[in-house]
Amino acid sequence: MTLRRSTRRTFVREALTVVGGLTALPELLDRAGLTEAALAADGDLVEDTLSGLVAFVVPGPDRHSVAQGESSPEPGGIDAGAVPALILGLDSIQEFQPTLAAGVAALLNGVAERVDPGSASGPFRSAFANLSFGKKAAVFSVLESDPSFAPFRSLVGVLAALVAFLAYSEVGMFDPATRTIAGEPVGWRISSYDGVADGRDEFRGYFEHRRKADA
Amino acid sequence: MRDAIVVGAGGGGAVAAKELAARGLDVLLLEAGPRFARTEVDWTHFEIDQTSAVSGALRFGPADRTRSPWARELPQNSFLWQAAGVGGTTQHYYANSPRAFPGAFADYRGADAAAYDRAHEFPFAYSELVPYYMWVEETLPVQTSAMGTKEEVFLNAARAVGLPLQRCKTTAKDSFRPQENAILQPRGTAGKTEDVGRLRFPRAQGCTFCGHCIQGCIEPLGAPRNLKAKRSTDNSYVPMALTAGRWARGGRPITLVANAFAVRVETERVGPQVRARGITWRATQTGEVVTEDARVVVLAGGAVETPRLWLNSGLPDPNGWVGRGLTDHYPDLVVGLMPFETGASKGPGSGARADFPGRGCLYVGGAPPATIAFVAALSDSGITGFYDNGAPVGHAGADAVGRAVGTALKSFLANVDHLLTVVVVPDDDVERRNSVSLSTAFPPDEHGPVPRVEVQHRSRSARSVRNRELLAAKAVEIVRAAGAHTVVRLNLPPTMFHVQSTMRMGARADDSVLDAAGEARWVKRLFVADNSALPNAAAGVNPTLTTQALATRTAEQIATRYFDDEPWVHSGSPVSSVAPAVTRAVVELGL
Repeated sequence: MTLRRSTRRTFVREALTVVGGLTALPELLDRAGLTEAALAADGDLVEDTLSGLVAFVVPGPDRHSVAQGESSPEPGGIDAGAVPALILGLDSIQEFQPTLAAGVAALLNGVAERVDPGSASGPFRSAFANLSFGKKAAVFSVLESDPSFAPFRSLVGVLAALVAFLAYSEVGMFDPATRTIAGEPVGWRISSYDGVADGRDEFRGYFEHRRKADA
Repeated sequence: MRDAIVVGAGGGGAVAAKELAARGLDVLLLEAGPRFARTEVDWTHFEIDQTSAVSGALRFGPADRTRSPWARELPQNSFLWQAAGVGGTTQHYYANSPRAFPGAFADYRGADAAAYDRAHEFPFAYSELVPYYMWVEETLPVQTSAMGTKEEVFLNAARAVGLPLQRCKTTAKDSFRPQENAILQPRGTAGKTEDVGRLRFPRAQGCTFCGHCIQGCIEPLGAPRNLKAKRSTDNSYVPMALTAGRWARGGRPITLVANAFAVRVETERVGPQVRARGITWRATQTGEVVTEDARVVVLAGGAVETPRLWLNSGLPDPNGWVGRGLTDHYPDLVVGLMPFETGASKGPGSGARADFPGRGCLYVGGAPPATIAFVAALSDSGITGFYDNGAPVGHAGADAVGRAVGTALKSFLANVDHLLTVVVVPDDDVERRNSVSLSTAFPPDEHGPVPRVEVQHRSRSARSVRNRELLAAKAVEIVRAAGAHTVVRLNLPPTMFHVQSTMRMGARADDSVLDAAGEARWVKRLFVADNSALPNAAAGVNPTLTTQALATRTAEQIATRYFDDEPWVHSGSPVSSVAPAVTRAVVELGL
């Protein structure tokens, strides 16, 4: 990609193209007044917002989950290490601002304030993170149904799935340098997964002993 | 000058390359992604390392995983599942290898003929393709799948709802059966132990039931590449193509160039004809741009990249069908939460199916938890219990429809091995408005304008909608018969793991790109041999075997039309990709 020659504004468009088919958003960010919000989002705000998102999709005992009113004693996506992985995955290339993660944060926080104007204040800097679980769902409902957000459909449609993938993957325990894991990933524990293997004792024979189809 | 350049080493291109190489032609096979030559080292079983769309080994992007994946525009809620690299999407496929139903072909006279997409049938009869099916089935080889627990549960439930067992290759009526899979079935200790010390080849042979089909097959450990269990083309056709001089009389090994992204089809005008004369590609690791000439060019980059390459090359499109008529099997997913172990993360990816001619098919599916979580969080019906996104579909008998998030998702996935997941694959109609075109919203990448893949999901044809609703209801019925205490219908958005017919072959010149031989109507010596060449949705069954049979037929057409060869499929016998001669060559050459 030609990111080194990109302007800040075109960066968001380009970065969105690389995450498995997400759609362009610069015009919409402009129209909604969110481009500047994305540019202004610092790392802490981005992390806060995406923690609110990860807790929404796969809650645990963490403070973001507790604050939204839907938590779980079992570890969740935040414990699984999904937040830094999501930020890294969305950003792809770190040196350009606003990053894609910042764009997503601006989008979620902007719609959060539409859904609940009071969300601007609360325990977190992120308006989205301050919402209850039900109001977070309402943010997604707006993003999926309001015609003015139509260009976001690909992004919004896959966002929860990306989070779910990360939360149930090995990401928090995986070392890309050695391509090994340091311990049992949270995702394995909360899905009762036996873990990877080169084989299983799972052979149950052939249905009615049929080994070959007739011609 | 080469005899042939094949663009794309996936499910179809590798087949065409191997067949032409076996006939002694000088073949250059280009692949945009890497070749994983040492999969036991290059790959792991970890989902984050293999299947992440952003940075996984099997993503659609360059070999250097610190670089971004390749871009594409999806202007709707959807997900496009592509894989770069030698083997293409067969690297992560389930290897299900059913034949298409006869009703999708010309001259079909069955009582259910009207149930099919008659306007876009194959331009020849089913009987014409059968010898090519048989050739591929023997080459891969295709074998009847053994069962894991989920297969046993599905098959018994299918019988319980009144479906008959299908015993033959050709599907004539509603029925169920073990899958015909391009997987070497377990022998020795395979499938019977988790002790890695007992799982090395040759003690273990064939499928070890590890449950990692979707992450690429490296089992059994220590096996020669052509004896790995799953017959993805990186394990089957490509090793054969690279060793063609060793097992085929008069054969000539191909030249394989990986990390080579084709950017232009070179053409020339000869009299009234436009002819292909070569390919220009960009080496993705160095940026070098190379052009080679060939007597014939075969496009096989897949149903998205092939029309993109055509359009980026400025080739003619007089009827406007290049990139049009995309079929994606309008897929859905029905999941049962079971009160007992199903082994959903173990065994073959899918070893059992039910077929419904004229409608499509269902098959049981398994995967490790992150992949299941990813799919379970996709929906066109909003979030269960909160909003339905105005989706015009019902429950089809399920207890809930839509994606689960929060504690609902955690409950859903509390035990991945208690799920029974049924993939719903309708036979969807060829519709012109569903398409691959060039994006104007996104900037070009280093390989030119990027593809825009548009699916008008909520305005499918009445037949496509009817088929999907019928199959979803059947899936729910089977899952309930299996004993599910809760059944969820996802109502997936376009989740494109089967993509077909964007360069469709057809009988009529006004709605097809390819003639019945697979040659482009407006550019001579240019053929297509991937899923995009399929005239329709392959009747709503897993398309790879049909694409491979068609690619075999297309290779024969190329050899006879342009190289004075004789047809070989009807008169000859194929060499299996697991034949001792192939194994010897693979071992000796260190492939």
